[in-house]
Amino acid sequence: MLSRLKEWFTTGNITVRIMTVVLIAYCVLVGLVNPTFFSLEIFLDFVRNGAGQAVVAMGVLVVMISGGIDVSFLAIAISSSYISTVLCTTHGWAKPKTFLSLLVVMGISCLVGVLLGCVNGLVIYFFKLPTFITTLATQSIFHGALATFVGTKPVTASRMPRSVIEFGSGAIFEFTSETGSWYGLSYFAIPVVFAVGLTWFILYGTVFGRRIFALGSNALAAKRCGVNIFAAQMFVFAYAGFLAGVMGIIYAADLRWVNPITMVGDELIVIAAVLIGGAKLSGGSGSVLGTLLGMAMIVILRSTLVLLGISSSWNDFFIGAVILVSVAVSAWRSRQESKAALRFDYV
Amino acid sequence: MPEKIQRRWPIDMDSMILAGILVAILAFMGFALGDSFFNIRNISSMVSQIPEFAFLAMGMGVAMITGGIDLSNVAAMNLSGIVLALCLTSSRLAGGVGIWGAILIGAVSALLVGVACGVFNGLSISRFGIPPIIATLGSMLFFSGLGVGITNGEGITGLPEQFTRLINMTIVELPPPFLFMLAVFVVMSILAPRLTTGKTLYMYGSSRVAALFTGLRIGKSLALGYALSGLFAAVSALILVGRTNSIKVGYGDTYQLQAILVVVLGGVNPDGGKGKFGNILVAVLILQILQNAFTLFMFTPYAKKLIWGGMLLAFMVVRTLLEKWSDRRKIRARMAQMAEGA
Repeated sequence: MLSRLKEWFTTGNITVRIMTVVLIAYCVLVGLVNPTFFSLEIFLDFVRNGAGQAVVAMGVLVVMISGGIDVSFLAIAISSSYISTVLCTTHGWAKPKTFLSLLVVMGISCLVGVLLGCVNGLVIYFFKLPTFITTLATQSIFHGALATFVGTKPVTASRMPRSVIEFGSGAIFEFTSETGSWYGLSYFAIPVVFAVGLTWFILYGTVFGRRIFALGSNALAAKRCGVNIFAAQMFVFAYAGFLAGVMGIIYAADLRWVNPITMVGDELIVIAAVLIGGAKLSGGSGSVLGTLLGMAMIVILRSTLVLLGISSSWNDFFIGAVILVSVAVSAWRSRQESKAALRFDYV
Repeated sequence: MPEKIQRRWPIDMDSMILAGILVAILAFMGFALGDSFFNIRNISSMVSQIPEFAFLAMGMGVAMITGGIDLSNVAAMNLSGIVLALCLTSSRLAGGVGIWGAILIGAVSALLVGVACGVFNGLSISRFGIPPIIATLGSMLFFSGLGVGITNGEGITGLPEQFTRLINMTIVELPPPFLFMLAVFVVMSILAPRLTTGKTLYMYGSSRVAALFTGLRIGKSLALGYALSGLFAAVSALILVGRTNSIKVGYGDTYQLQAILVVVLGGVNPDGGKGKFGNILVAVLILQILQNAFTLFMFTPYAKKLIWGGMLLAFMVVRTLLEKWSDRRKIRARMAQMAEGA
């Protein structure tokens, strides 16, 4: 076992290695200052709090591997969850508290997400526009259109489908702590495992996944090799939209409330996690494991600064610092590599 | 003589299209709104709102000409506004050097903070090779996090009257920030394509590898360019604080998208290398007039959001189509020439 671990550690992806060390070191530090940190309850809480972001981070990862970036996923998540819950409540679909009715809500939400993602993909493919500015624009368009044409009235807990409420409050298994309160592994773990597994399979287990990597590394070379650029580009944005649809329902279940006019601003956190996990804006690199570690790092950092005795108003400052340091290190390394290989892609 | 002027001040297609749009919108306003648009009060309120946004847009323009983007300039604006407000409200400082001394120290340190933010961005882009989107995304969180940390996320109010009066006074019916903005636009549009740093940044924007091989001082120029963007953010912080008499992290968040929109509308290529500050000014005027019209028509903020996003997308699409069309025309003309020669 130990030798296996050693082997992985000397040969594995360097970003993942560095992150594992930093993450463990940080957890030990927090544990030393505040021993209550090492408890199952806090760990399960992290899973619940980070679930929605972890799901959508997989979609952003796939987009970034293909050489683009997507900042419209939050608007997509809000649009799809709002449209889905409104449709289901007004038509009385998904009334019973069953798994099937949750699937109906989730399915509609994902469908809307895929459609909106396709809008991104189509515009970017046909007009060859820069992905960042385009998705920034579509983010405004999606959110503005939702509030203007669909409605601005929030869906409250009493009107929300019962299955969604159950999804948010139930647990796969439960414990009762010494103080009498209960805690458990939230149902949210299921979509996370699903999203991570599916992304892993697509990226590392299919030819299509390798094509996405190829598109990100060098679009022209990929085209010459016969990669269908249109299909790949449409897929990545549609997939990001799909997972944004899942995230929308997770948020709805978590907050028991879908408000179409407030955008809970977590875009930066998700993009930060993907970047910290080793993805590059230029495309072609990034890993599922790295993204998960990046997400874990941010979720843990956000909720433990208080345990270290630092006011939570400094959260953004530290997260910003972590992003800057990690991207600076990775950019610096790839620049040195490029210089050594006499490539001029670093300027 | 006109030929010489034509050569020195070439009128490009972007300028003509923009001027056309501006005239069309003004004419439409005249018809649709008449006196409720063209009255002294409305116009003077517009004139007082333009400068703070125009400076942000100019900073964004500098960054986008280099092929980058500055997503942190609203955060830098908030941070330097907070520094200014802290200096102004500190009774210790005012007791020591008098209120005008405090205003001077506050303004200078706000400008320094803005420049420092910009240099920070420029160095992380040129020294470490971080892509501008990511470098400024990270520094945006960093700067606004610093602002939230300092103020605990609360607003600072109760600034001395002298400062707000200074910003809001008028010279011949026009507020000084507006006149200053016009002057800066003129200076920028004259100097940016002529100074070495400016030329370097335009060249870097149009081809990075070529600029590297010419031996131009790219790192220094990039740092200066982003420093300028930070300085402009600080100037707009001075105006914002003076106008609203308060500051809080989160002020001016809607400016971010609008600044990108204005710069793209002003004919700056998001890939870098092209763009004129005169056109950005016209685009700022167009945006402000539309903004004003939407308010008069009583559009909801969401409808505005939809329109701004739609406009940004539409302009980028139109731009691509126009470029494709003009490329095709050039190729056709070239082929005709070659056929004649043969």
